[in-house]
Amino acid sequence: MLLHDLGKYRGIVAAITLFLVLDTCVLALNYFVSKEIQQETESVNLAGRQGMLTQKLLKSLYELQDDLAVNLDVQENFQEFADTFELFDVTLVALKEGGMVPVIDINDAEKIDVKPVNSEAAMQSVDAGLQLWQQYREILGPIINNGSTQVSLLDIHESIATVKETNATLLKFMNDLTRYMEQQANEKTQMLQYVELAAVIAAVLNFFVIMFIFVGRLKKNDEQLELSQKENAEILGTVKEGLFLLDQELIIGSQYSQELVNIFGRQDLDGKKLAVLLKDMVSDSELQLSEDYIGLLFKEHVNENLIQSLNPLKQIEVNLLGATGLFETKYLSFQFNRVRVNKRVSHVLVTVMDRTVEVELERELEEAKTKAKGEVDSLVSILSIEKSAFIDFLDKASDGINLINEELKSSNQDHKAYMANVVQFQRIIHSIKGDASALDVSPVEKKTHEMEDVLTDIRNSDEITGNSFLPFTVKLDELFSQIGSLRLLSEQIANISDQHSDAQPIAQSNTQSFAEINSLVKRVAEDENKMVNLVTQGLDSHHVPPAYIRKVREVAVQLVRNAVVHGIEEPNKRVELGKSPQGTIKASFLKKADGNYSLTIIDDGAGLSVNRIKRHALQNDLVSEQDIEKMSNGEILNLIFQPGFSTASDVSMHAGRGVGLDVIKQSVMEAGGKMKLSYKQNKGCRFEIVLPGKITTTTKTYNETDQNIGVEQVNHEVVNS
Amino acid sequence: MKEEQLQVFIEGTKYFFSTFAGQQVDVGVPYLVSSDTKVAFDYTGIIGIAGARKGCVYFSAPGRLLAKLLQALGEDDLEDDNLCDVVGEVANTVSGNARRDLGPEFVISVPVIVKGQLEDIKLPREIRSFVIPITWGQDKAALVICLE
Repeated sequence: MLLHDLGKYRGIVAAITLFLVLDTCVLALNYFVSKEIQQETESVNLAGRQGMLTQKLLKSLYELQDDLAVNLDVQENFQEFADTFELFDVTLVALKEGGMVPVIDINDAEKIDVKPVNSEAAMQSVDAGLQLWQQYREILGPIINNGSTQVSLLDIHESIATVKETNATLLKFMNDLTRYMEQQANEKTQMLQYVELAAVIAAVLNFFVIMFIFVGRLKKNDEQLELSQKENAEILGTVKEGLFLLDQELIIGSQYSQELVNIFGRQDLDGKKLAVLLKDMVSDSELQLSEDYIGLLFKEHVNENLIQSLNPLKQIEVNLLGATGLFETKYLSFQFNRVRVNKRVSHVLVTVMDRTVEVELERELEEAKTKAKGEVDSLVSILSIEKSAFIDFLDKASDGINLINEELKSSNQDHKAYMANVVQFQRIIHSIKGDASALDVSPVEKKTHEMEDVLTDIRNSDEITGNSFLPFTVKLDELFSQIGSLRLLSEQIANISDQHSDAQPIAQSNTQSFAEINSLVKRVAEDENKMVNLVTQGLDSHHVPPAYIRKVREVAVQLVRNAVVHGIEEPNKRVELGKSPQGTIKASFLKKADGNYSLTIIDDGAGLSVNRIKRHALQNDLVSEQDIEKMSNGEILNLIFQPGFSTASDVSMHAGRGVGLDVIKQSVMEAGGKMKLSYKQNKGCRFEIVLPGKITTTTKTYNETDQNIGVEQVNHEVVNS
Repeated sequence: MKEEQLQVFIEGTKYFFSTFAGQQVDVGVPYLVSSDTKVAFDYTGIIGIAGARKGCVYFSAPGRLLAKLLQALGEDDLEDDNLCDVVGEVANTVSGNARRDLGPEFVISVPVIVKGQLEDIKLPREIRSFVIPITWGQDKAALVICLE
């Protein structure tokens, strides 16, 4: 590792290295100086021994003298004398010039290497010693060379005289030498101590340098690191994108944003492969494509910008399964960017953005546009309808739908009950259709017409089961949505009109409650290829009490429509019959002298045909052939108030379902009213509904009581047209 | 909502009972409930739906029906875990049937079993659920389909 690679650790490594170098130097110095001290100690010992040898030399001369005096064998003492002389001589020369010196005695094989003395004082002592020793050599040398056999008492005697005279001086020189050498050794020892002390001080200083400077620096670095980690964590915890790094093995790095956890709903992403993250979100082929794409980003020669369009995860729809078993759909956008370290691609930064809100908003906008297109028709209708009439219609439709749904919910599982349901539903749906038709709310009119189709299919099927109602329930749901949308639309319009215009005059508003009957007549007549003129009288808020407005409108709409569809003939037929090609319908509302109200609908059409009613009732199994033979004309006429009766030959939007007069019958019954029907063949028909002057309000729109209705048939009454 | 799609879930339920339990169910008259109304019996197996339509389908049944169903399947251990398992099996069959018949544009999950009320399931307010009453022998259960 190069020093510059160490970065912030460079200083501390240098300090520790310095410490080690210093320590090594001190140790080496210690080693060498100790060795020198050891040598010098040995030299000191040798010098000390020299002092002893001077005494020993004198002693051995005396002993030799004693031996010679009594003629004893001098061999042993002579040898000791010679050895002492030689040992002193060898040692002294070695101290001057250096050389090997026997350790114990002259015959010892073990020798030590003696360095020449180097201090001036010691050298002077050695030189002085050598100078004096030279006299010894001159006197004693020949005696030793002659050997023990030639030695004489005289020689020894003279030698003793000389040695005795100078021995003390030589001893002094040797003692001086010893002292000087000891001093030198002590100086070195002291120097070594100083060096060691200095080394310890340097080591301590080094320690403090490391402690205070470098540890301080490291601590600061750690604090900075901690701060940057904290900031990093804050960024990763706050950023609204899922961020993570991928290495070349496509393994997710240890740092990733909290949003990533939120997006993927899992914590354990660290060290996982990308494939694990995307598993169950994308298909295998998409995953392979993604891995190939990221692989390209690691190739240096590939231009990052050029391949961005290849990103297969630019926007994906993923369905994440929540704990409750429901899927949460998210729209995620993945972005991949190269991360370069030392100009090489080290990682790929992945940014995951949750675009669910944007995508859903776009979709909602798109749906709203589509819906808005579809609603234009409804809007046009609503704008031309008086507000309260429209709200009434919506309320009534909602009541009807809810009633049907309740009936579906509590339905008994048998054919008879199912049939009863179908009849009831037909009546309710037909009524909603009538209102929709009157108000010209074509989507509802169309939907209810489809529902009538479905109900007819159910009724005509051989076996009715619960499941037979499935298509009807589906349509009911659709109608539910339609009514909901219309209500929303009307509220929005109401808001706009409240903001931008003054309230409509009440009179105008109430007149409009019945205005739709006119447009209904026009539309139905057009659809039926007939020419009809509607004349109304008293059908306005001045005459119709508020509590009866909805009822009167409902009944008038059904009867007027019936008059157009069933009563008024086609223009050709009318001409053949000598009538004007344009038929006339009169609808009038008035308060009678007895206080009751009367709604009269008179047409100058075909009137009723008992034979046709009979034929139709038999065809539709409303009555058996045997029974009908026994029935009076009045009873036969009453059949037209039975559910499922209709004399229109084809099913169209306006007739033919067999639903109509029974709805009116129900409605009149609810109000405690009576109904009179009179007709004349080819001259016309007259319906009079009498409503009680004392109004009893009912909150239920669809009353299911089965009480008898007060219907009178007045045959052959002249129709006043 | 298309009738055929609803029918697929109903058929899945019918198939389970007729094939594995050996006795057919009676499918009642379907009706609507608002999405915040949960039709829950004791045990419910829920499958999540995403893709072409989003929402969920669940089969909910009382413990008594499930116990009988377990017995019909040859299992005498009527412990809670087994009741959960069997309601999951019904949901699983419904899920499998739907996967097969509704095609790849539907993403259909494996069932999640919930005991008791279904308070945690949040569905869009503006849509309604179709409730298909199911009668098996004397016992009643429900298949509820709530799709946007």
